[in-house]
Amino acid sequence: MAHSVEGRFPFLDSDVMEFCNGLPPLYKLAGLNEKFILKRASKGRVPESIIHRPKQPYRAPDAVSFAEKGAPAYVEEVLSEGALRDAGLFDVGAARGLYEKCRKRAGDAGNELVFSNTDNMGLVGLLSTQLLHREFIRGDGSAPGGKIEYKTLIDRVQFQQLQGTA
Amino acid sequence: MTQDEVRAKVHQFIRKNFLFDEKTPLADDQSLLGSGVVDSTGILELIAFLEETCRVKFEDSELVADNFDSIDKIAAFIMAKLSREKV
Repeated sequence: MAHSVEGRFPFLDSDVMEFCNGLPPLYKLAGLNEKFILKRASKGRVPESIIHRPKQPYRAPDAVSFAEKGAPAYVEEVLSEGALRDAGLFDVGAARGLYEKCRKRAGDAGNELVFSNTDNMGLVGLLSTQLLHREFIRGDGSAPGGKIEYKTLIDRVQFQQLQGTA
Repeated sequence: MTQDEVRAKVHQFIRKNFLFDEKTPLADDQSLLGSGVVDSTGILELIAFLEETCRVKFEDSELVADNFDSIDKIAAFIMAKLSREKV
């Protein structure tokens, strides 16, 4: 390690992980108060402004993929004036304004396709909400490929543990 | 262009390009970065707009938050820059 940088992430420490796995869910998520026990433990050690800082949203994928040429047809569909009005969740003028701006920036030749983080997260948030509305409020939750099947995935380690307890 | 005209143009651009509506309050002396109206990439959009509309060219050393953090500051900075260039 003489010539490299080594990243050691305290939250990935196996003892910390094991301890956290044993905690009741309420300690980790108290209502909508996330990282509850971590915030309590950090009190007095970390500035209050950091403990109570609002979450920084990151929504994938990059909004460019929904605004550039060749974007999926459903984008225009769920962000149309009619669909926005039907859902009634967003200010229609503002939502259209954001979408038009992103489309224009993505379409400008020579533009480096940089959306500001605010616009980027805004467009993806808008789009996901409109899609949820279409699928589950107006629709019956069946995806284009058929009804969604919910599965429980168990990895090998868990599987062995389950077998051991059975 | 007078300082009031610059202020009005910048105000209108910020509303149209970042707020997208007529309702959200936007004061000429409010911190644009602090209130989250404009983020760091948004500042670049704002600078491109100013360079085009006011026909100015900013030096790298002028691109500091203090010159662009409110509509009032932007208008004052543009006027100072334009008057310097005339001399």
